[in-house]
Amino acid sequence: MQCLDIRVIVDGKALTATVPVRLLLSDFLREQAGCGGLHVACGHGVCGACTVVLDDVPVRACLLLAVQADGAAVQTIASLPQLEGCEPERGLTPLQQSFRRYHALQCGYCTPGLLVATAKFLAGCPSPDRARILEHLNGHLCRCSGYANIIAAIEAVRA
Amino acid sequence: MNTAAPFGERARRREDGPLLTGKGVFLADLIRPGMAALRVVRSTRAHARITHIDFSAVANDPHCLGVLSAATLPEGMGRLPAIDLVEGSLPAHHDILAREVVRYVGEPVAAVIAADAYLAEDLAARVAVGYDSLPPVLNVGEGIRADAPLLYPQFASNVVHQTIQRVGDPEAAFARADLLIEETFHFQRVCASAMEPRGALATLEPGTGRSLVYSSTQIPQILRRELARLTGIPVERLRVIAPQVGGGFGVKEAVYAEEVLVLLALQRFGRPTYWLEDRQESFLASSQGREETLRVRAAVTAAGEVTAVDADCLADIGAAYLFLSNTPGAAVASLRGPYRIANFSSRARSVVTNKTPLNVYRGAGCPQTTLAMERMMDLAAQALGLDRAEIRRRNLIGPDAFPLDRGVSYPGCGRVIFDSGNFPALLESTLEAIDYHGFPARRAAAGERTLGLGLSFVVEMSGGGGAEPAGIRVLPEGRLQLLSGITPIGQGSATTLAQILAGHLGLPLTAIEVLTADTDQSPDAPGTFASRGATLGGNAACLAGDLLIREARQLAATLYELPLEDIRWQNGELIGRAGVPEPLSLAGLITKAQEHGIDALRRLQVSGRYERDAVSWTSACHAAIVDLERDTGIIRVLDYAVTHDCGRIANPLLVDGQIMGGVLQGLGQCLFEAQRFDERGVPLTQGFMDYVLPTAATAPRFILRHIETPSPLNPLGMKGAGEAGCSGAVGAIANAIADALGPQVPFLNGSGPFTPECVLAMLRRRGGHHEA
Amino acid sequence: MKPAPFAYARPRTVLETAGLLAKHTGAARLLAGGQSLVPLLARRLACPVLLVDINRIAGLDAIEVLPDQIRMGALVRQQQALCSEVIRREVAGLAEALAWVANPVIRQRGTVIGNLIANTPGAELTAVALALGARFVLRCAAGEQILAAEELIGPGRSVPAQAMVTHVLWPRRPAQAGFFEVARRDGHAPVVAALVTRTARDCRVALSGLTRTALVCPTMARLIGEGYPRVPSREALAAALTVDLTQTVHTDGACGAQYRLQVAPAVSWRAAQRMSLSRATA
Repeated sequence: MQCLDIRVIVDGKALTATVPVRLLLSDFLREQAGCGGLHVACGHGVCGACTVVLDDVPVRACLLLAVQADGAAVQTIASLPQLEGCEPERGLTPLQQSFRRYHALQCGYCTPGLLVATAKFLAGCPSPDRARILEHLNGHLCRCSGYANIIAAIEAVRA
Repeated sequence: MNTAAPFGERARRREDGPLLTGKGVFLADLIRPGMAALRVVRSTRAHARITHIDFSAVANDPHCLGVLSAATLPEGMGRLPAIDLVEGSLPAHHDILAREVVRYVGEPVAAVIAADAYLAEDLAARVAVGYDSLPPVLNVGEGIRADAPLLYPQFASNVVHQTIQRVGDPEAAFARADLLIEETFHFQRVCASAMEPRGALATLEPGTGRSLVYSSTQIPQILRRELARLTGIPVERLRVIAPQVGGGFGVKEAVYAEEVLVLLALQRFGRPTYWLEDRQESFLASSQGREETLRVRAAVTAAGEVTAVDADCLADIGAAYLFLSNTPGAAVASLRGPYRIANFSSRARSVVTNKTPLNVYRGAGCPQTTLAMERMMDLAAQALGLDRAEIRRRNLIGPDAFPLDRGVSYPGCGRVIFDSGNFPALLESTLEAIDYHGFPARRAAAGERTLGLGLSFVVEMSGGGGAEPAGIRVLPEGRLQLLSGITPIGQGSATTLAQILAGHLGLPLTAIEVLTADTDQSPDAPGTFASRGATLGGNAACLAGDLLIREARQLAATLYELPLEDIRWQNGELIGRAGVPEPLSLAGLITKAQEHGIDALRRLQVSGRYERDAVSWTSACHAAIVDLERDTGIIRVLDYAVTHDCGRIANPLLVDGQIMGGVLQGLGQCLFEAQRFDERGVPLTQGFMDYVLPTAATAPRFILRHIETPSPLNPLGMKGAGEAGCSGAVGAIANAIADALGPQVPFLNGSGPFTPECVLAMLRRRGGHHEA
Repeated sequence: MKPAPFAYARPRTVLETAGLLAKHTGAARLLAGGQSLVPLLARRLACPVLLVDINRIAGLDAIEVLPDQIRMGALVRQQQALCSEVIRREVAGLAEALAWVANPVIRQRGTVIGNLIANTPGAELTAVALALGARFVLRCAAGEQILAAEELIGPGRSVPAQAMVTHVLWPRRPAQAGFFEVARRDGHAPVVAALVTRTARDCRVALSGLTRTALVCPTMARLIGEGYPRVPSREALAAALTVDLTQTVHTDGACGAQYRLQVAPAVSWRAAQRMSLSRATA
């Protein structure tokens, strides 16, 4: 089985690892980089639960190989404060607080990927109208909330 | 009374912190280095005799840590349990691993164990299974034919279960009716699709050497009992824990083969072993929902009174029982919903077919009966020229009729006795919320858009399952741990139960920690299903709270040498009648007891069981407004109003979340979702590209209202809130679509799904124009 | 859902890639955006011996303006093309179509060329490529070759196993454009999609999803062009479509032929409406 050495910065920490070339980035992050907050729900790129930021671009971790992240920086839910541009270690970010306030999560399984993607979305589009928010959410499945509270939570934090 | 988030407040959830920061511990987060992965070899045939299972390609592979097949299972091992077997049900139980015959694509045939999931999948692909195909049964119509192939030849029929109900004299009512309506409703198979797939892990507990099984399940206690039965491990040598569960909806309310297999692998090969379902497997081997054919006849007077209903249900339960497979069909007992309808008869049969087993899915049969009954009301109104709200008004059970014995029984839950409600008030509230009277004008003003409005009542059972335990432990600083048998699956039960207990004891919310889903803490509990969590868990918590108060008073009485009746519990504190003792907190009591050398923590540890497990009936009136795009066939749900009555509400924020989430699942069923099979019985949808789920863009604007008629059956006056949103939605949306299409279009009765293709096909059948 | 074992190569140049493909003819797959390929790998519906990751080849992520065409490399991401002013101005219709492809996160990674050569029935971009006359630059060890879109897209057509598509060439065609599609659910994979694009000189229409390969519709285009800015009725479009419909109507598990045929005029009508409302850039 072919393996490669990779160097990845995960949530600010530099890691080196030897990985099988077929290892999915989602599995690498969960199993070798300690990113338990990254959730795999569909494994074929539809649901958005495993969304992470790879070199500043939001991507599905289940649709990349770990070797493709060689030399890159990956940000998961643990980097949400940085993605929102606020101080780390200061409790919940504004987006997290809004999700809590509006009861925008129930089982919470889809939540980390949704938060990562939403933080990145709002960074590029700070005052989205409802249509933009819905377009953004098209890439995310949630089976619990009925979505209305997710939309409300995002609307409440836009600039 | 300390009122920091007591009963009734929109308290934000204590669960949210870890979930929002990615620190929630789900099943997959428990995997540790050195644990082995199990992969199931699944049947690729819908119906076949197994000729051989050949492990030779993997047996000597150094990556292969073990294999399992029916031949290597322990001698005499039983089969998976089913808990809703009525008298006369035939024992169509599910094998742990298929013995001689496979009966659906995806059925577990063998298992391989390897160091990781990649290697296990490599090995599983090399296990050669030989099949001799048998003719498959793929729908109930085929299944009940006299010459149908039999899934279980020993039964001589594919009908494995039948329930018959009868109230009054339906034949006489039909004979006298001014109007007879008969319709047949088809409900497609759907997949609940919890975002977290299933998973299980078996390991040895350090220290005790007990077998410790983690599973993403709604029923850890029942799982423990069944694992003990199946493996022969004494129940006290087994501990089962459900970690954070990423959605349940009934899919995780079963004992599955994989949960048994990881434990067998641990026993047999000595390696802690896990199994994580992938999404493709969840479409093949997780329980599915809803599929049935329901024929309904109604007798109606010229004045619009429905005097009798007769129903015949054929439920397609798939290849074998999976825990509650008969319940969805048997739920036809509650077909009449909120309407008086004095005469009723029904027959419900469960038919085995070569498809994935059916089980309860959010609503458990109620979505089907709701849709059917509510369509019948609209059809009767149409036939009589009556307003749709008016015909409902004329048939609703009045607010003074409770308790009301409906004369039927609900399998496993006894007689159907409506405990409380105010159906007319629900109707009027919802009509106002959706602006029913303004709707004709809105429709006329819609221009190119075609709007439709649909109404639906739902009356849904909640609770049941048996006595609910609760325990309380007091910590040295006076904080409490509530040990609850309610497994959290996203419903926020830790928050709700803490609110209930805090309110009951007069303590701040922060004084209460809630521990759940661990058989060491609650060894014997029913679990989370049937919208029972808040009501049963809450009342059990209060019962335990009362026990704690009694113990605390007794302890104080002992310490202060006072008669028990001189010590009261008030606002979270003990107070003596004559000012002695001065208000004393639990922490104070503990300190005082320590001074006397008394182990207060042990004295104050209490547990009890809430035995009054009476089923309460949640009701709601839903209204949907849909937009039909006539040239594309696209249906969009614009507005959605619900007036909901789940008795007293512990946390309106969370109840609203349950309703909206439920409505979206009903919407998904009506508009998008269907699991279909090809002519060989191979599932056509095995992922989210084929199985279309609702997204945020499909969510309607919600208007939610509540009416609280307390249930007299439990001290808190609560009823369940988990499922009625889903059950009501299919009725309201189907009626709204039919309304948009207009009476000239032959409506496909059932829950569709009303895809654009289906809608244009209906419009075409009218042969009319479809110009926007 | 874990990929079967494969060998992995990460060439630095197109030449190196062509060499690998020549050496492993038929057993190698190229990995660019991976948004279609990785799900196939995960379900083991694709089990290449060698996976050739072209993401580190320099220069392929450029959108270049040439005298009469726009040259787009194999690593140009869908979102990148969607946001490109040049594309919006010079390749009218492409950006409009890209806005409907998948969702923003998938588009960040998915490439324009990967989407085009996946050859999926109904895929939005195939209609654009055929309507606009896109051409593909193929490179194999033996040299370079340019193929028209219709030579690569369609049933039984695919990129030769030893070749790599390095670029797509879009004719420069400032125009008005409108795109519309219907899906089983708003935002889901397209069932039928239509592109309408018009300059002062000509109007073009192509539909994807109606037939196995995207269908170019000159009769409908003439009708829309002549009526501009008024949009012909759906009935008139439907009549024109019967002339243009030279292939069997597609049917699959997602949707039957009858719906596709019935909805196609409505989809074209809406695309034409959007085109008429768009600001003229010609």
